[in-house]
Amino acid sequence: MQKAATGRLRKKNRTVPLAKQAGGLLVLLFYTVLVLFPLFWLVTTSFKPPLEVFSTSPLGFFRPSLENYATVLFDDTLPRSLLNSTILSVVTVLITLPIGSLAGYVFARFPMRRKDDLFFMALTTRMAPPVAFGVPFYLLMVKFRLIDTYTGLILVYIFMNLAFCIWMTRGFFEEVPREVEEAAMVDGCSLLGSFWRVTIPLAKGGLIATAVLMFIFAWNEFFFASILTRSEVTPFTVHLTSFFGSRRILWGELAAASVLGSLVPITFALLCRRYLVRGLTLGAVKGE
Amino acid sequence: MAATNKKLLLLLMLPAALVFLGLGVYPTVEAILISLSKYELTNPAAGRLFVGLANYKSMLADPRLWAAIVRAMWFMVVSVGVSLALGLLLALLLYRVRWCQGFFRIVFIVPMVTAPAVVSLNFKFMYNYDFGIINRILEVLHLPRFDFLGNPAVTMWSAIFVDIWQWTPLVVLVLLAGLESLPKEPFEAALIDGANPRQIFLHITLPMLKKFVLVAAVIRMMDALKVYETIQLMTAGGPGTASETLNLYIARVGFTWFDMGYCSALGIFTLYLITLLAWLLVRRTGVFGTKGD
Repeated sequence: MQKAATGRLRKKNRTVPLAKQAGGLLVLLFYTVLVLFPLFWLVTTSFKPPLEVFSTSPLGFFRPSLENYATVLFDDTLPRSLLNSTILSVVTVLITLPIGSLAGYVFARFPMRRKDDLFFMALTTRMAPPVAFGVPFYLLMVKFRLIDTYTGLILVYIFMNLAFCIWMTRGFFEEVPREVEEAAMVDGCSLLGSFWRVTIPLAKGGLIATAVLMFIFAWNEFFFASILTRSEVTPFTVHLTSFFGSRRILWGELAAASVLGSLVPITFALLCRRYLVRGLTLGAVKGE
Repeated sequence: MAATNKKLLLLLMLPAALVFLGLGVYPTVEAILISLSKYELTNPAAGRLFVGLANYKSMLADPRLWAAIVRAMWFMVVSVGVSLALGLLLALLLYRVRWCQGFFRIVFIVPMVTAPAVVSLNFKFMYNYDFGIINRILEVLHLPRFDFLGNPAVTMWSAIFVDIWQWTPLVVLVLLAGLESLPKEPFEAALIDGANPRQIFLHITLPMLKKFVLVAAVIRMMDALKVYETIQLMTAGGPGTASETLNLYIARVGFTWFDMGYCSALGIFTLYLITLLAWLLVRRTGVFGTKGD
């Protein structure tokens, strides 16, 4: 009898009035268009020849050309700035992940009353506007002659991401059952041995996701890059502002550069989208 | 065994601790010291002069600062409020329609991982008065053109819209994850008891979703309080100071006027406020898994 009741319920659930369903679908579609349109417009602008960038025929008909891409790739320092972005983000991740996951492991495995404080730190460093740290970091880098060097900017990025990294890896390590590690230790592994051979392989997905998120944060960063670089190590976000000439703005080239610079974070995010929401909510929402 | 383990643990924590000491404590102490001095890079001959709390006192008598703080709060409240309401509506629809979920999930990821600098400059292009696509569309619809970035009464809204555009998808994904994690039984029981959809939503769905709504709210507040390049690259705080929020003002004091002392004071003040807010959020909400163990 209970079965019949749930069966009826399911049926009832499924036969939501068609009109209502259609209304919801319409709202969703409208919103999707709203989300996609700016991206669509960015991509189409990047394919417009310079003369047609401004002549926006309402439907956006134009002869696609690769002129803007050719210009930014061959007559501009965009490739250099993309390389800079890559170096800055990759090195930041390569340094922060080992340091952070060691500490994250300690927090995950050993009784500690400081868990609240750790989270508090992760929250504050993620929450604080970078602008608030602007002056001390700027003066620090001037003092040590680190303005416009990779080292200067990477140090700032390590600081901004470390608490996040510790907090996230702690969460992933906690999900590895303690018994597996204990079994490894019984079989003769040391603490570090079991960490390296058992825990890390089991938490691999989470560690990769943490790395990808830190990569994206560093790749998209603007404020510190704008005050701590001049020309040598300018990443792509700051390079975008160079398309603003004194008399005109090179919109087509700006769009092409934007598209090229956005491909990397978008690809990475889609590849590890299972962990994306978890990362962006500091681990509060475990997701799918 | 226990003793060596303890040493080992400290060793494992050492690199992280060193980074925090070197890159966290030092700049903070330095910032406090600078905030107590008159230190203008435009006047190098004067150097650094200890002036006590003078910089903090001048904050009280700085109407531009208070206007910027009000704008930052306004930005946060509207952006967070709208994206939460809209996100909740969309998450409920998406949960119910169950159509093309994978497609929507992919679409929603793109705005939030695109660099704010890219998003901001793209909107600057679309908002343009003369050739921006939004004004073109308005023209085709026989509506009046809008000077989205040049009209002081509109700029803030234009900037807030961009933030909502970029971050509502995250709210949707958070709440969708929440809806999917809810147990089915209460809904079935309510249906059997003859509750109508509105009652179910108000008395069952919303209370059970509370944790996820809080998480989304906290995350959105964090990001809205950090906003810098979204406004800076689009309007640079203009026209006049119509869209100058706290972050933009601090950056202007420090890196346009090079008044290091006053900028540090503003930075310390902001950090203090943010820390207080973070502390409240951690203690009061307990939604981030720090409670209960």
